[in-house]
Amino acid sequence: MNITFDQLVDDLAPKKFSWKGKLWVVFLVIVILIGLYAYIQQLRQGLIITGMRDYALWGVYISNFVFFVAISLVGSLITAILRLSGVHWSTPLTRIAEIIAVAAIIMAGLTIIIDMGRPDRMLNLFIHGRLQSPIIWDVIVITTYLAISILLLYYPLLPDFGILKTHAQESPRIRKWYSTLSLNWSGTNDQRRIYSRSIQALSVLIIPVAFAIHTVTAWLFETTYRPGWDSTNFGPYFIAGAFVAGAGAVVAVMFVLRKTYGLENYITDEHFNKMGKILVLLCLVYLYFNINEYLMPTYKSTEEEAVHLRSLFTGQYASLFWTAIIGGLVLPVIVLLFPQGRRPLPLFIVSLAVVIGAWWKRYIIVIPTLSHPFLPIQGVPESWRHYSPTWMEWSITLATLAAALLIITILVRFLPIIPIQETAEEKGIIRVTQINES
Amino acid sequence: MKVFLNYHNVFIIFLIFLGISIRAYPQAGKYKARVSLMYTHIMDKESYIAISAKYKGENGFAQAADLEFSVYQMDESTDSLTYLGKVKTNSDGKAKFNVPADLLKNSNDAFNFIVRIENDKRFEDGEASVSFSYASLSAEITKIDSVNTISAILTDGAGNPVQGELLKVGLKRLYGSLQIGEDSYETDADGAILVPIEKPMPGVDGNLTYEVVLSESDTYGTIKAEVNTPIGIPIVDQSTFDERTMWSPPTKTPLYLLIFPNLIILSVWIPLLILTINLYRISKSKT
Repeated sequence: MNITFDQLVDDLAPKKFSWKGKLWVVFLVIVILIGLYAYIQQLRQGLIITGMRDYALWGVYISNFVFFVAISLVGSLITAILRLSGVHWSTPLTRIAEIIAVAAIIMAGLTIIIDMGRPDRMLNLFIHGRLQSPIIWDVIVITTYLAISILLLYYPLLPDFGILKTHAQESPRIRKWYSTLSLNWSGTNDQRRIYSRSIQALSVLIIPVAFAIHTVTAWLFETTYRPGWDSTNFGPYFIAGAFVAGAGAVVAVMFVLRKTYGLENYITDEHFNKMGKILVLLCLVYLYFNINEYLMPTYKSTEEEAVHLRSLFTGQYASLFWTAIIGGLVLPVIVLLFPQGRRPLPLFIVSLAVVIGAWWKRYIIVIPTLSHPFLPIQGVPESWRHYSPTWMEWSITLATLAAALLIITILVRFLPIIPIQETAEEKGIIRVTQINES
Repeated sequence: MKVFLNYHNVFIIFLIFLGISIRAYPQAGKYKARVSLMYTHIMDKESYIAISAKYKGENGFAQAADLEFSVYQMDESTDSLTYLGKVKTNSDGKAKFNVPADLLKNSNDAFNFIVRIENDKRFEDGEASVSFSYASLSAEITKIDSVNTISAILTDGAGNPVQGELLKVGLKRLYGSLQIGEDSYETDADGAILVPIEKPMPGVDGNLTYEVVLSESDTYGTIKAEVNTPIGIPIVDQSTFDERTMWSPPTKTPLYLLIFPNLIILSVWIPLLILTINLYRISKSKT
């Protein structure tokens, strides 16, 4: 593929929404507005509008939160791990991964606030927070990961902003924004040196923090002594699951963006093939952790664990559980083992199944355990023993998912989906000095 | 006729007329309070009349809170009433009227007290009375065959032993009395009981307070004698309130939890700060 620098910029520069894009934004805004209405009701009436009671005190909000945290982990997978491994084929996917990571971690933080009965007291978390509490660890680690994710998204954008300020087919106002955000980038040796070192440092830094964010989220459950959560394996189990969800999300988004913006020359079938291979590996690792998590408690079958596991295997949650395991893990592995399964469309469908399965898997981790505490709660109505999310909870949850998609959509509108500068260098279209000349 | 018109008869006639008048002209819109009285004497401490009042309201029986009673002592020999004071019930419909110690003489005479509801806005006028004879209960701890034993003696107002009354023995704890031995012990001809303390019990600094109780006797009311003794097992204070624990407030976080997480936080945030400064350096870099 021989293309000029101008063609490359033209292909990769952000593009205005088509009518489909505008319709998509309107749809997301409507979903968010419905959720906002429900949230205002929740603010006015309290958490009584949810299905959460004495038993299920963490409901669909927390499973949604864990899902967002899981998705956010993808930033470290694609960007940091592959970058540090010296893998170059992933360059067109790094920006997508970083955008997904930022959107997901922002919504993870907001989802926690949504779950609060008194969000006006949120500041108390920082004023009276105790380092002994895993909640504080989570607050610290989410804030840290958000900061790193934003930096990791922003740093590689500097050269692209430098290009866009002169080359983008945008209004002068937006080009001025690109100019401001480029931080006077001209590709000088000094700038490149600081830039490279900073990205290298961020890539190293984000891996332990990304592992920490999901490990700490696992500890929120693990430190609470309950059937299904009483496991020393929970940290790695959550991380393995997060990689699966994140990789699935990247594949789904890259398929949509490739089709929408005609990026077939940049996000090729080979990218899908390789992402498919990564996904199957991650699914197998996660499957291994799942076997660990369920086989040993089943073998021991202590009274409380047995009740919990029965509800998953054959009871109330059986259909959800098996659909998530088989539909979200086993079948994807089988499909992705074949080269035809790793072609863009089949892989896209599989990735959707993986992401949806990942969401319900979090639901299965959170809710059934709360229904079976070691110490039964006394004197509560029978209806409190069963959790069923209300339509308001669903509205708010769907609104958070829509908000994450809206953040991705807006970022995709104004940021180059594929790193322009990096791609140009890798394709040998420009040398380092050409940026100054163009 | 002269005999008929003595003060005693005049008082009875007055009460009859009062009663008739209450029955004849019920006080409209007022509740009728049901009052129960119990005389209690804690030896060497206090004597009081416990008043409990309730009434039947729209939603069934309820405690008569904030209800004022006037307390009188009735002298049977002169048929006269001596006003002692007022007392008001709490939110549970209970009140405690302390009987001045000098009113209770060591004698076999019966003491009569009357409590009255007078001119209350919510409740009809009414009264209740309690009668009792003075009795004394003494208790001590002695060692019999190396076993700590509670010995208690119940005597009447004249100092004679009271036989055949049932005394309960207990160990005073924070929320009530822990029964010692059997349900109750009957006083013998000497008015005495002997109760061995079989098991050592814990107490603050080893101090224990045993109590012997004549409970709700028709003749003597409730009489309680307490005896403090240092025969308990001293309680070792295991409170971690002043220590740095996982469950203490932020000011008492364990040191390792202060040091290591903060070191980790700094080891991440200092590079992040440097990386943010690097953005500034990039913007200012010209060569």
